[in-house]
Amino acid sequence: MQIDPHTLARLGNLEITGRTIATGYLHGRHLGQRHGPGTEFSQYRTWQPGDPRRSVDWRLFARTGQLHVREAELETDLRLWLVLDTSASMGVRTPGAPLTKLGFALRLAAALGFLAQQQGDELGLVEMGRQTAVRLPPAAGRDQWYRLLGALDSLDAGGDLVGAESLPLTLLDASEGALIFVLSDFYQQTGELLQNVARLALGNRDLRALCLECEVETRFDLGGARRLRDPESGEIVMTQPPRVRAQYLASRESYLNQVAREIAAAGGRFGRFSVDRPLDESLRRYLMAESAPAP
Amino acid sequence: MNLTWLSPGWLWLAGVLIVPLLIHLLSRNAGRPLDFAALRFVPRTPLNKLLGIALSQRLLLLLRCLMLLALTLLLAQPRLESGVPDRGTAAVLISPLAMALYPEQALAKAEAEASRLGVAPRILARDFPRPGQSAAPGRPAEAIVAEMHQALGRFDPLAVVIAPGGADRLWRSPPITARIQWLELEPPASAARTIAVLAADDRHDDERYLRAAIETALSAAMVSPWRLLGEDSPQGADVQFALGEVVTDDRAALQIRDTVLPLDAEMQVAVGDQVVRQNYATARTGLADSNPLVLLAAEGSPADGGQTLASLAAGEIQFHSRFHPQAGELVSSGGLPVLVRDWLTLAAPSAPRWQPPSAPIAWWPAWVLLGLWLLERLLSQRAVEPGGGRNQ
Repeated sequence: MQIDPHTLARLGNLEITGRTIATGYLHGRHLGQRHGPGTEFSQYRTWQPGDPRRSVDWRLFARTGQLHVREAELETDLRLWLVLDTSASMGVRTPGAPLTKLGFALRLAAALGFLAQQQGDELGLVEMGRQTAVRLPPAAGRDQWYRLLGALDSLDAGGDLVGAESLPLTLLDASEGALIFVLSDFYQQTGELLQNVARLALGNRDLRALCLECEVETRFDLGGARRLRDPESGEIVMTQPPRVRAQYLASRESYLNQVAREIAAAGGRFGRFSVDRPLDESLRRYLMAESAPAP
Repeated sequence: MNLTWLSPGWLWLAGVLIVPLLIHLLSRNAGRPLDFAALRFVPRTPLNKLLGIALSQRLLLLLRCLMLLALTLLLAQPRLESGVPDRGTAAVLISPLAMALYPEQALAKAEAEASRLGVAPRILARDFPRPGQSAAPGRPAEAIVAEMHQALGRFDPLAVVIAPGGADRLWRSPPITARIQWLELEPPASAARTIAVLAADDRHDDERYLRAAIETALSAAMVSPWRLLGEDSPQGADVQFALGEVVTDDRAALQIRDTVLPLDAEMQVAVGDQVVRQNYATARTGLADSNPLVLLAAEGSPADGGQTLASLAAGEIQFHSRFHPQAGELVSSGGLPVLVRDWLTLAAPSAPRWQPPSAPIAWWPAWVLLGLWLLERLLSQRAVEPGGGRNQ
């Protein structure tokens, strides 16, 4: 199943799109649900020798005369942090494209959140933009995913990455081994973002930096002479894209390579997403690559 | 100098000029800055190069507009022509009245027009009869006039030098289908403001002949700006418009002895397209104030009566016309038939043909278009070529 960005943009509703994308990923994966101790009831199973007695549902025994064990969905101790860049540069889109980078990031976050919720992981959301703050404290369960959708809905792009310095502080209490997804375009006025994102990988955390890019940025095939405006600094530059294209592409590529290197050096992983491509396909490819054994 | 188009149907193409202009204006609107997050990686262009870009953009617009214009010109094929854009044989005629009144001016004007049309200046009526010349009798005048019209129909265009005030009705007749260009003479400053036209003759026994004379005189008078015949002749003029033989030289006792037509008879006269009724008995004229005096005498030698009348006039007699409807030898005579004969012979093979301006395709707009296109290509290549600038 492939959902193109136009369809996604029309769907609008994060719940549907997030679930649609994630289900597309889950389809055929036979993940199955793991059962075990937990709070969310999952199923009854006949008692087998070795099961602790307190897990036997005595009321059911009273009704049926058979020993059954009450099982809940297994809750993992994995904690997933979604860090969303909401600076103004995330609000841009390829002319004619349906989704801004932030729009893409919201849907991606919803999908990742759904996957995490399905696996019983804890979910948390951090906004990184005008200010950096925890928008959703981590918790597990289905309700948490709906809370995540609400929190995502309230985000909009604008302003500078002024609070990027406090990013490590905000996630200071992130437990060891937490999975941190950073959704950003990694454009920064100074080097603050990269340093702070890289520091997230310290403490044995699993950092996944997802770089979102528009095709207008990756291709830069604007004809003739254009005036371009930086959404964050407001600077306007008159330029001739066909003339400076090669120089621009080289400089951007070298920057992103540097970002990838630094994040890899810190122990994180760096991936690139084109926001003008079908989201579910990109996500599936990304997750496949991630789950493949490292060479 | 006339600007004409060989294919004016293509001129609408010039309206397409609005397309590049619209594109330019719309793209100016679309030139609102595009939000571009990766701006920090875009190399900055120096100011002088930016100015160069703006200049070359406008130059490109101008070039594209000019290209369209050149294409329009190539298709519409403009022509600057000095001649009348008609085809066929051109002829220049001088109306008898004009020739009679102002011969020098009429000849000069006719010659100038002939050279403009590119025909050999063959001036008709140069030998128009002067007083004293005789006209032999010939074919009926109607036949001659019809023949004349037929001959004139072969000429197109037809330039006619006319006396001040209007055309001779001979040239206004329907049988002439040629496009006629009327060249009206400016009356010389010395000319008097009054003209009298008389019809008089001694051959008054022929009613038809008199009628023709009267009609001619009246027509000439009617087309003249100084229509003094008839109602607006000064009061107290004691010389009557004579229809008949003048019997006495005594100005005071001027009488008409034997009129074929009664003086108070009304007569219908066709003047141009109009038919007017005139009572010649009341057509008085102040001969003393008339200068020049045009006397239309019907027969060969100047009529005695006409002479008599003319001698009464204070002005100079400039013209005696003869028009005899029964003259059998008109073609060989020296009067009006000379004019007719010339008309008839003008269409002979020896007569110069007026050539329409040759119309080969004008290729210069194509070369202009090619040049503009090359220039446009060069400029737009320079505008987009990576590393095309010197300071790149």
